[in-house]
Amino acid sequence: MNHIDTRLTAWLGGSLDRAAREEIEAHCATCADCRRLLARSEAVWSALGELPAPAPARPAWEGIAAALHPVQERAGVRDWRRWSFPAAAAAALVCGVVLGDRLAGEPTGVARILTQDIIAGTLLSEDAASDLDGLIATAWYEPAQGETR
Amino acid sequence: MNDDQLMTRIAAGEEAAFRLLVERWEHQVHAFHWRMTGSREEAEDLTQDTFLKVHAHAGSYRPEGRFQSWLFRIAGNLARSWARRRKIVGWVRFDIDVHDRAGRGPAPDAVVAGEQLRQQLQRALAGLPPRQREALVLRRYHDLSQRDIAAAMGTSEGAVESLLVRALDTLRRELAPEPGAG
Repeated sequence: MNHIDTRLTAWLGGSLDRAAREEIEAHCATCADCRRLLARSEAVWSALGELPAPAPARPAWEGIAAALHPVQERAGVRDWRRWSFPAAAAAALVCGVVLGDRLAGEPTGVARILTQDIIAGTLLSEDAASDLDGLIATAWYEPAQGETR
Repeated sequence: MNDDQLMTRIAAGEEAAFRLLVERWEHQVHAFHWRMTGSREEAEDLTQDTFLKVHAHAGSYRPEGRFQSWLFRIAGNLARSWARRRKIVGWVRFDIDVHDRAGRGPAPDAVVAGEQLRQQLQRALAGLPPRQREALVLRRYHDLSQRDIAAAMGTSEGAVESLLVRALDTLRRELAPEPGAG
């Protein structure tokens, strides 16, 4: 049986106010059991403070950033899906127009524009996706200058 | 910039604020998980998981100046989940040399010194029930008040006091037995 047990960790952690500390000190001055308990507890508490924790082998941010990036990569996949359909449609359109022109004779202005764009590599750029939509609309709805559809 | 301000910015999507918070707290969180698991590798994984949860739940954080309690609540939940997954009683195995004390502890006045003693202490700490160990680790190494520990562990201050008393009692018996005991 002891009389200071419930205040021990507060004592050890230094969170007791002065009055409470003096009360414990006064009690321990007359109670050998509590005096021994306090001494043993202080020894353990002090030893606990000498237990070093190892430092992380590498900065935590490295792994955290890697875990966060896949979210961005998935967003990239969504972007690719967004523009891949118009690109495929454009490719089919180009094939159709070129093939049609080949069968009809000289390439039309539309075919020249589209094939030149492909050769220039603009269709390989993600940024060209929105431009491509406009290009498709132009090719579909607007005859090349000097030509009739 | 304090933690609450950082959390507000993290909630708004500022990755730089998140990185700053991670760098501010990573050593404490890693040390906590190391003392809870006894494994550096597990501690690193759990540290990463802790911060990813901080990031994911930043929007639900209330900036009331209790960030440390909130952080260690997440860390503690992860440590306990890890322990449940292990489904073993003695789930902490510190990477230390094992010294058989054969039931004989050093005299109280010698407790504070020596490598062998530190290893004994690590073993004793590892042998504590998880909640006792968690309360003790938060109190001794992270300087949380009993109120903050209660918030972090989702329990009452009285329950925390009880956990700490029992943990300290076990450590005293293991490491600083009364003369004539054992």
